[in-house]
Amino acid sequence: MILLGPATLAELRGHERACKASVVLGSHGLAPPETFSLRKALIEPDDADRLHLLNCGFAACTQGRSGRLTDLDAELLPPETRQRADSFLRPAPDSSRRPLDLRSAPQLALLLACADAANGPWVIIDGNHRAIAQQLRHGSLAWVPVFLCIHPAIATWSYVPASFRQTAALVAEQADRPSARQILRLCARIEPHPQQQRDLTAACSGFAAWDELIRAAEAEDMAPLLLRHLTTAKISLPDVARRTLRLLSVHHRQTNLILIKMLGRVLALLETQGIPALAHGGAALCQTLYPEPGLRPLSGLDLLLADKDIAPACALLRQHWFSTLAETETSAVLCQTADGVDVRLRLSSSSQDFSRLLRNAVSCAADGVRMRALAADEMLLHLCPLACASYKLITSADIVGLLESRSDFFSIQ
Amino acid sequence: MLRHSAKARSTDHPLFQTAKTMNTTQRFTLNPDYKAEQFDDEVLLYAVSAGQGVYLNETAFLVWEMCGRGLSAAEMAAQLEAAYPEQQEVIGDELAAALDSLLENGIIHPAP
Repeated sequence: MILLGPATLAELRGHERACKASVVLGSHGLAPPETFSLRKALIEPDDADRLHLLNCGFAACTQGRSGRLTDLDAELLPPETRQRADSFLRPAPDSSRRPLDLRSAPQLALLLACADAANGPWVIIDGNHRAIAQQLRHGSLAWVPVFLCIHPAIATWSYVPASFRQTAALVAEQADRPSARQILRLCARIEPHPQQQRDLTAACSGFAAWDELIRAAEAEDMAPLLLRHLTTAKISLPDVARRTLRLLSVHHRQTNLILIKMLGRVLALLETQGIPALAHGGAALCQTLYPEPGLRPLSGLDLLLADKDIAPACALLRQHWFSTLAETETSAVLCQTADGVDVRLRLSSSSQDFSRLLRNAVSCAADGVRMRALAADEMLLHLCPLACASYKLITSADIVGLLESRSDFFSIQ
Repeated sequence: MLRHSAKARSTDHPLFQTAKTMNTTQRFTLNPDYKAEQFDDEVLLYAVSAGQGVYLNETAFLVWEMCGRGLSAAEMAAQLEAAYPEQQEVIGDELAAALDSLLENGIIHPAP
């Protein structure tokens, strides 16, 4: 959960009225409103298994009646609940409303209650139908804005499902231990910072779950950055953990070198036919932002082309080493194997004026070949929707790095 | 100075015998897939195509380098003995163990 800042009761009441909330703070046996502290927040992808529906019929729509939103089963929805959720998913044809996406609808922010704001679990006081609709349509509540109503005794409320209580007990037990996730978050930046290094040292003091940390780091493409920050902070870690992180870092470095070499070959080839291309995504970030290309694991290569160049570029690449996995008028995915590494090359046309992007591009080199990459501000605009679609913690490091690299341009608060 | 951190081997271990009884004029070629990455206290050879990495201690790294320079097993032993005269007694075993380990992992191959 990303905690954004405090909220007032007056603000919450206004929101409840605007949403025509049926369960409001203080009703249905909840503690008096003034005993809650209130915050605004954003749900993160990792919060999914700690989000609960209200135990007043909604929990019955989940597998095993757990109440967990991740256990939601569309088949178990009673007709009236389904109808209400459908009204958000498929507004009436004559309605001017668009299908629901709570991520971009702060006026529909959910009301969540919890005892631990940062770690949950959380129960949805108001907005259960909206949450069900969002879960069914988008598969997750990640990045949905919420009001958090925090009360230490919320687990005793009768509308809280049993699994909420079990999770709350587990979270309370682990509250004093630094988690792998906390350590990873501290490493989600490119350049070390004195405060970050102090926090990291404190978080790693007595930390024992190194296996879990390394697995999580690799899943989030963070293993090389984790090693970088642990090494810079001179944090001692077990031999096995250190060697595993080194192995992963070397793996990513060597893989990236092969991918960047291939990028250079592709750019040189396109250049021979006068097809301009703009690198974006991981490879562009590696070459323009990260001090060492291996710090940023790559899942493939991404190029922006002008609309008219997608088909000729595909044809050209097919003549030289690549085969096509998918192709439309505006995008294509091609692949080949280079030095034992699977290379996925994603070509797409820009939704913006390509010549403007090209004019503002940053020049650098990929294996000695001139490469043009999206400028930092354009890269940010490009990254943010991608981060919402498939978020990994490395994207946070990318975004922090981009913002810090252009502190003259972006006002950071 | 000259240490080998690999598991202790008894001399009847088949791999030990392989290197120990190897023709001392044997030379080796490096598997080009493996690239060396040096850290402060150790060296990692990694082949991205195989997805395999092997940590080398100081002795094994020296041996790997000498294989790359085309030295025979006898020439390697002579160089090591000259560099570490105080450890002459163990150099033969250390060299055999390092060669075994490198051969076993496909990092070097006997030159034709």
